[in-house]
Amino acid sequence: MKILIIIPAYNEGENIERVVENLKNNYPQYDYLIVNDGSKDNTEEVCIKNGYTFVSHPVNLGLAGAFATGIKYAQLNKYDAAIQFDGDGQHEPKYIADMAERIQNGADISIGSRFVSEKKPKTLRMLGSNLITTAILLTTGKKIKDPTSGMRMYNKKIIDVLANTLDLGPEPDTIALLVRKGAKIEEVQVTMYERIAGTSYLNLPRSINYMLRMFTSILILQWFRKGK
Amino acid sequence: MMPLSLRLALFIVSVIIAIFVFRKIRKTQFVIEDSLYWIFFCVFLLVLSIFPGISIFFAGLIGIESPANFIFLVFIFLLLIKIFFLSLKVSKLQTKLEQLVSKYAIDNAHTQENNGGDK
Repeated sequence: MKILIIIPAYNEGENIERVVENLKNNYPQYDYLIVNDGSKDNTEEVCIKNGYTFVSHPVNLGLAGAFATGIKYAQLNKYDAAIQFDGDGQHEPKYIADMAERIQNGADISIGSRFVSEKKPKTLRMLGSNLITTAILLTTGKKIKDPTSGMRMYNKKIIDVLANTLDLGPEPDTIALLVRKGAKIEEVQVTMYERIAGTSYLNLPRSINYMLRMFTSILILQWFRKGK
Repeated sequence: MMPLSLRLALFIVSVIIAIFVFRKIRKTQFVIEDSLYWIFFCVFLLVLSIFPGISIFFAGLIGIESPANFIFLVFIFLLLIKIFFLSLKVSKLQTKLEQLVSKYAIDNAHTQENNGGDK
Protein backbone atom coordinates (compact mmCIF):
# COMPACT_ATOMS: atom_id res chain seq x y z
CA MET A 1 0.00 0.00 0.00
CA LYS A 2 1.41 3.38 -1.07
CA ILE A 3 0.95 5.90 1.73
CA LEU A 4 1.56 9.64 1.51
CA ILE A 5 2.13 11.72 4.62
CA ILE A 6 0.91 15.27 3.99
CA ILE A 7 2.67 17.81 6.19
CA PRO A 8 1.17 21.30 5.92
CA ALA A 9 3.78 23.78 7.12
CA TYR A 10 3.31 27.47 7.79
CA ASN A 11 6.30 29.11 9.46
CA GLU A 12 7.55 25.77 10.78
CA GLY A 13 11.24 26.42 10.15
CA GLU A 14 12.03 25.45 13.73
CA ASN A 15 10.08 22.20 13.67
CA ILE A 16 10.09 20.83 10.16
CA GLU A 17 13.61 19.39 10.19
CA ARG A 18 12.97 17.37 13.36
CA VAL A 19 9.64 16.04 12.07
CA VAL A 20 10.91 15.09 8.60
CA GLU A 21 14.25 13.63 9.75
CA ASN A 22 12.33 11.34 12.09
CA LEU A 23 10.15 10.21 9.19
CA LYS A 24 13.05 9.74 6.78
CA ASN A 25 15.24 7.82 9.21
CA ASN A 26 12.71 5.69 11.02
CA TYR A 27 9.82 5.32 8.57
CA PRO A 28 11.32 5.15 5.06
CA GLN A 29 8.43 2.93 3.93
CA TYR A 30 6.14 6.00 3.76
CA ASP A 31 6.37 8.86 1.28
CA TYR A 32 5.90 12.34 2.60
CA LEU A 33 5.10 15.73 1.10
CA ILE A 34 5.66 19.03 2.85
CA VAL A 35 3.23 21.73 1.74
CA ASN A 36 4.96 24.99 2.51
CA ASP A 37 2.00 27.36 2.72
CA GLY A 38 3.66 30.64 1.85
CA SER A 39 5.78 30.67 5.01
CA LYS A 40 7.48 33.93 5.87
CA ASP A 41 10.30 32.24 7.80
CA ASN A 42 13.02 29.91 6.52
CA THR A 43 10.79 26.84 6.03
CA GLU A 44 11.48 26.75 2.30
CA GLU A 45 15.24 27.17 2.73
CA VAL A 46 15.31 24.32 5.26
CA CYS A 47 13.46 22.10 2.77
CA ILE A 48 15.78 22.97 -0.10
CA LYS A 49 18.92 22.60 2.01
CA ASN A 50 17.94 19.09 3.07
CA GLY A 51 16.58 18.02 -0.31
CA TYR A 52 13.11 17.30 1.10
CA THR A 53 10.13 16.51 -1.09
CA PHE A 54 7.96 19.60 -0.93
CA VAL A 55 5.70 22.01 -2.76
CA SER A 56 5.51 25.71 -2.03
CA HIS A 57 2.49 27.98 -2.19
CA PRO A 58 3.48 31.44 -3.47
CA VAL A 59 0.94 32.96 -1.06
CA ASN A 60 -0.53 31.80 2.25
CA LEU A 61 -3.86 30.00 1.83
CA GLY A 62 -4.37 28.56 5.29
CA LEU A 63 -4.54 24.95 6.48
CA ALA A 64 -7.47 24.00 4.24
CA GLY A 65 -5.61 25.20 1.15
CA ALA A 66 -2.41 23.42 2.12
CA PHE A 67 -4.33 20.23 2.76
CA ALA A 68 -6.13 20.53 -0.60
CA THR A 69 -2.79 20.78 -2.40
CA GLY A 70 -1.51 17.69 -0.59
CA ILE A 71 -4.64 15.73 -1.49
CA LYS A 72 -4.37 16.75 -5.15
CA TYR A 73 -0.74 15.62 -5.15
CA ALA A 74 -1.80 12.28 -3.64
CA GLN A 75 -4.47 11.82 -6.30
CA LEU A 76 -2.10 12.77 -9.11
CA ASN A 77 0.55 10.33 -7.91
CA LYS A 78 -1.98 7.55 -7.30
CA TYR A 79 -1.47 6.97 -3.61
CA ASP A 80 -3.62 4.34 -1.88
CA ALA A 81 -3.90 6.40 1.28
CA ALA A 82 -2.99 9.86 2.51
CA ILE A 83 -2.59 11.05 6.06
CA GLN A 84 -2.73 14.58 7.45
CA PHE A 85 0.25 15.12 9.66
CA ASP A 86 1.22 18.09 11.78
CA GLY A 87 4.31 20.05 10.83
CA ASP A 88 5.03 20.97 14.43
CA GLY A 89 5.64 17.49 15.78
CA GLN A 90 2.38 16.86 17.65
CA HIS A 91 1.75 13.62 15.78
CA GLU A 92 3.76 10.44 16.19
CA PRO A 93 4.45 8.42 13.06
CA LYS A 94 4.45 5.15 14.98
CA TYR A 95 0.66 5.11 14.82
CA ILE A 96 0.53 5.33 11.03
CA ALA A 97 0.88 1.55 10.63
CA ASP A 98 -2.13 0.99 12.87
CA MET A 99 -4.21 3.52 10.98
CA ALA A 100 -3.16 2.08 7.62
CA GLU A 101 -4.20 -1.39 8.78
CA ARG A 102 -7.75 -0.15 9.37
CA ILE A 103 -7.80 1.29 5.86
CA GLN A 104 -6.53 -1.99 4.45
CA ASN A 105 -9.29 -3.80 6.31
CA GLY A 106 -11.95 -1.72 4.61
CA ALA A 107 -12.26 1.58 6.49
CA ASP A 108 -12.50 4.69 4.29
CA ILE A 109 -11.18 7.03 6.96
CA SER A 110 -9.17 6.24 10.07
CA ILE A 111 -8.72 8.85 12.76
CA GLY A 112 -5.81 8.98 15.18
CA SER A 113 -7.99 9.50 18.21
CA ARG A 114 -6.89 10.60 21.67
CA PHE A 115 -10.02 9.23 23.32
CA VAL A 116 -10.82 5.69 22.21
CA SER A 117 -9.71 4.03 25.44
CA GLU A 118 -8.52 7.16 27.24
CA LYS A 119 -11.02 9.50 28.88
CA LYS A 120 -11.45 13.09 27.76
CA PRO A 121 -10.05 15.58 30.26
CA LYS A 122 -12.59 18.12 31.51
CA THR A 123 -11.27 21.29 29.90
CA LEU A 124 -13.03 24.02 27.95
CA ARG A 125 -11.45 22.73 24.79
CA MET A 126 -12.78 19.24 25.39
CA LEU A 127 -16.23 20.64 26.06
CA GLY A 128 -16.03 21.96 22.50
CA SER A 129 -14.89 18.56 21.30
CA ASN A 130 -17.84 16.91 23.08
CA LEU A 131 -20.29 19.33 21.51
CA ILE A 132 -18.99 18.50 18.05
CA THR A 133 -19.17 14.77 18.83
CA THR A 134 -22.82 15.27 19.82
CA ALA A 135 -23.62 17.29 16.70
CA ILE A 136 -22.12 14.57 14.49
CA LEU A 137 -23.94 11.85 16.44
CA LEU A 138 -27.24 13.69 15.94
CA THR A 139 -26.86 14.09 12.19
CA THR A 140 -25.07 10.86 11.22
CA GLY A 141 -25.80 8.42 14.03
CA LYS A 142 -22.08 7.74 14.33
CA LYS A 143 -20.10 8.49 17.48
CA ILE A 144 -16.69 10.00 16.72
CA LYS A 145 -14.83 10.36 19.98
CA ASP A 146 -12.11 12.70 18.76
CA PRO A 147 -13.58 14.73 15.90
CA THR A 148 -11.02 17.54 16.16
CA SER A 149 -7.98 15.29 15.92
CA GLY A 150 -5.78 16.58 13.12
CA MET A 151 -4.41 13.11 12.40
CA ARG A 152 -6.65 11.53 9.79
CA MET A 153 -5.98 8.97 7.09
CA TYR A 154 -8.08 8.68 3.95
CA ASN A 155 -8.26 5.86 1.41
CA LYS A 156 -8.14 6.24 -2.35
CA LYS A 157 -11.89 6.66 -2.71
CA ILE A 158 -11.98 9.53 -0.21
CA ILE A 159 -8.85 11.12 -1.71
CA ASP A 160 -10.73 11.31 -5.02
CA VAL A 161 -13.80 12.82 -3.35
CA LEU A 162 -11.69 15.39 -1.49
CA ALA A 163 -9.69 16.30 -4.57
CA ASN A 164 -12.73 16.65 -6.82
CA THR A 165 -15.14 18.45 -4.49
CA LEU A 166 -14.82 22.08 -3.51
CA ASP A 167 -14.58 23.25 0.05
CA LEU A 168 -13.94 19.96 1.87
CA GLY A 169 -11.39 21.18 4.39
CA PRO A 170 -9.57 19.07 6.98
CA GLU A 171 -12.23 19.72 9.64
CA PRO A 172 -14.87 17.77 11.55
CA ASP A 173 -17.69 19.01 9.32
CA THR A 174 -16.05 17.30 6.35
CA ILE A 175 -15.86 14.07 8.34
CA ALA A 176 -19.53 14.40 9.26
CA LEU A 177 -20.50 14.99 5.64
CA LEU A 178 -18.46 12.02 4.40
CA VAL A 179 -19.92 9.73 7.07
CA ARG A 180 -23.43 10.82 6.13
CA LYS A 181 -22.62 10.04 2.50
CA GLY A 182 -21.64 6.52 3.52
CA ALA A 183 -17.92 6.63 4.38
CA LYS A 184 -16.80 3.99 6.85
CA ILE A 185 -14.81 5.47 9.69
CA GLU A 186 -12.64 4.01 12.44
CA GLU A 187 -10.68 5.45 15.33
CA VAL A 188 -7.28 4.30 16.52
CA GLN A 189 -6.00 5.20 19.98
CA VAL A 190 -2.98 7.53 19.80
CA THR A 191 -1.09 9.87 22.09
CA MET A 192 -0.22 13.34 20.92
CA TYR A 193 2.63 15.56 21.98
CA GLU A 194 2.26 19.13 23.11
CA ARG A 195 3.84 21.64 20.76
CA ILE A 196 7.60 21.94 21.22
CA ALA A 197 8.18 25.22 19.36
CA GLY A 198 5.90 27.90 17.94
CA THR A 199 2.46 28.85 19.20
CA SER A 200 -0.98 27.36 18.69
CA TYR A 201 -3.25 29.52 16.56
CA LEU A 202 -6.30 28.94 18.75
CA ASN A 203 -7.44 31.81 20.97
CA LEU A 204 -10.86 32.66 22.37
CA PRO A 205 -12.39 34.61 19.45
CA ARG A 206 -11.02 32.06 16.99
CA SER A 207 -12.38 29.20 19.07
CA ILE A 208 -15.84 30.74 19.21
CA ASN A 209 -15.73 31.38 15.49
CA TYR A 210 -14.60 27.79 14.91
CA MET A 211 -17.41 26.32 17.03
CA LEU A 212 -20.05 28.46 15.30
CA ARG A 213 -18.74 27.41 11.92
CA MET A 214 -18.69 23.72 12.84
CA PHE A 215 -22.17 23.81 14.32
CA THR A 216 -23.78 25.67 11.45
CA SER A 217 -21.99 23.45 8.98
CA ILE A 218 -22.77 20.12 10.67
CA LEU A 219 -26.31 20.82 11.84
CA ILE A 220 -27.69 22.98 9.03
CA LEU A 221 -25.58 23.36 5.90
CA GLN A 222 -24.67 19.70 5.63
CA TRP A 223 -28.13 18.85 4.33
CA PHE A 224 -27.61 21.05 1.29
CA ARG A 225 -24.13 19.90 0.36
CA LYS A 226 -22.94 17.54 -2.30
CA GLY A 227 -19.98 15.26 -1.67
CA LYS A 228 -20.82 12.00 -3.41
CA MET B 1 -45.06 65.32 -0.83
CA MET B 2 -41.40 65.00 -1.57
CA PRO B 3 -39.32 68.01 -0.50
CA LEU B 4 -37.40 69.77 -3.24
CA SER B 5 -34.18 69.56 -1.23
CA LEU B 6 -34.37 65.74 -1.18
CA ARG B 7 -35.00 65.65 -4.94
CA LEU B 8 -32.06 67.94 -5.46
CA ALA B 9 -29.85 65.78 -3.25
CA LEU B 10 -30.81 62.63 -5.19
CA PHE B 11 -30.11 64.40 -8.44
CA ILE B 12 -26.68 65.62 -7.36
CA VAL B 13 -25.63 62.26 -5.90
CA SER B 14 -26.73 60.56 -9.10
CA VAL B 15 -24.63 62.91 -11.23
CA ILE B 16 -21.58 62.51 -8.98
CA ILE B 17 -21.75 58.70 -9.08
CA ALA B 18 -22.16 58.82 -12.86
CA ILE B 19 -19.11 61.06 -13.31
CA PHE B 20 -17.08 58.79 -11.05
CA VAL B 21 -18.14 55.62 -12.88
CA PHE B 22 -17.43 57.09 -16.33
CA ARG B 23 -13.99 58.23 -15.23
CA LYS B 24 -13.14 54.79 -13.90
CA ILE B 25 -14.31 53.19 -17.13
CA ARG B 26 -12.17 55.56 -19.15
CA LYS B 27 -9.12 54.67 -17.09
CA THR B 28 -10.07 51.00 -17.61
CA GLN B 29 -10.17 50.45 -13.85
CA PHE B 30 -13.74 49.20 -14.08
CA VAL B 31 -14.90 46.19 -16.07
CA ILE B 32 -17.98 47.16 -18.11
CA GLU B 33 -20.04 44.32 -16.69
CA ASP B 34 -19.38 45.42 -13.11
CA SER B 35 -20.11 49.04 -13.90
CA LEU B 36 -23.59 48.29 -15.29
CA TYR B 37 -25.09 48.05 -11.83
CA TRP B 38 -23.90 51.55 -10.97
CA ILE B 39 -25.06 53.03 -14.27
CA PHE B 40 -28.55 51.66 -13.67
CA PHE B 41 -28.34 52.87 -10.08
CA CYS B 42 -27.65 56.42 -11.34
CA VAL B 43 -30.46 56.30 -13.87
CA PHE B 44 -32.81 55.07 -11.15
CA LEU B 45 -31.83 57.92 -8.82
CA LEU B 46 -32.23 60.41 -11.60
CA VAL B 47 -35.71 59.18 -12.45
CA LEU B 48 -36.77 59.27 -8.80
CA SER B 49 -35.54 62.83 -8.42
CA ILE B 50 -37.17 64.10 -11.60
CA PHE B 51 -40.51 62.30 -11.13
CA PRO B 52 -41.41 62.38 -7.43
CA GLY B 53 -44.81 60.95 -8.32
CA ILE B 54 -43.24 57.48 -8.60
CA SER B 55 -42.08 57.42 -4.97
CA ILE B 56 -45.34 58.91 -3.74
CA PHE B 57 -47.37 56.31 -5.64
CA PHE B 58 -45.39 53.28 -4.43
CA ALA B 59 -45.12 54.60 -0.87
CA GLY B 60 -48.91 54.84 -0.77
CA LEU B 61 -49.24 51.39 -2.36
CA ILE B 62 -47.29 49.56 0.37
CA GLY B 63 -48.47 51.78 3.19
CA ILE B 64 -45.41 53.89 3.92
CA GLU B 65 -46.32 57.41 5.02
CA SER B 66 -43.37 59.31 3.61
CA PRO B 67 -42.04 58.84 0.08
CA ALA B 68 -38.56 59.52 1.48
CA ASN B 69 -38.82 56.36 3.54
CA PHE B 70 -39.80 54.45 0.44
CA ILE B 71 -36.63 55.66 -1.22
CA PHE B 72 -34.53 54.52 1.76
CA LEU B 73 -36.18 51.11 1.68
CA VAL B 74 -35.47 50.67 -2.01
CA PHE B 75 -31.84 51.67 -1.45
CA ILE B 76 -31.43 49.14 1.32
CA PHE B 77 -32.80 46.38 -0.92
CA LEU B 78 -30.58 47.38 -3.81
CA LEU B 79 -27.49 47.48 -1.60
CA LEU B 80 -28.34 44.13 0.02
CA ILE B 81 -28.61 42.53 -3.40
CA LYS B 82 -25.28 44.05 -4.39
CA ILE B 83 -23.57 42.81 -1.22
CA PHE B 84 -24.98 39.33 -1.67
CA PHE B 85 -23.63 39.02 -5.19
CA LEU B 86 -20.31 40.57 -4.18
CA SER B 87 -19.99 38.01 -1.40
CA LEU B 88 -20.73 35.25 -3.91
CA LYS B 89 -18.11 36.63 -6.22
CA VAL B 90 -15.49 36.75 -3.47
CA SER B 91 -16.21 33.08 -2.70
CA LYS B 92 -15.73 32.14 -6.33
CA LEU B 93 -12.54 34.17 -6.60
CA GLN B 94 -11.18 32.57 -3.44
CA THR B 95 -11.88 29.10 -4.83
CA LYS B 96 -10.21 29.96 -8.11
CA LEU B 97 -7.20 31.42 -6.30
CA GLU B 98 -6.82 28.28 -4.21
CA GLN B 99 -7.00 26.08 -7.29
CA LEU B 100 -4.42 28.21 -9.07
CA VAL B 101 -2.02 28.22 -6.14
CA SER B 102 -2.38 24.44 -5.72
CA LYS B 103 -1.72 23.83 -9.38
CA TYR B 104 1.24 26.17 -9.43
CA ALA B 105 2.72 24.50 -6.35
CA ILE B 106 2.28 20.95 -7.68
CA ASP B 107 3.63 21.83 -11.12
CA ASN B 108 6.75 23.21 -9.45
CA ALA B 109 7.12 20.39 -6.93
CA HIS B 110 10.54 19.73 -5.45
CA THR B 111 10.73 15.94 -5.57
CA GLN B 112 13.49 13.36 -5.72
CA GLU B 113 13.24 13.22 -9.54
CA ASN B 114 12.69 16.92 -9.98
CA ASN B 115 14.88 18.52 -7.39
CA GLY B 116 14.87 22.26 -7.51
CA GLY B 117 11.71 22.82 -9.53
CA ASP B 118 12.07 25.55 -12.13
CA LYS B 119 13.21 28.34 -9.87
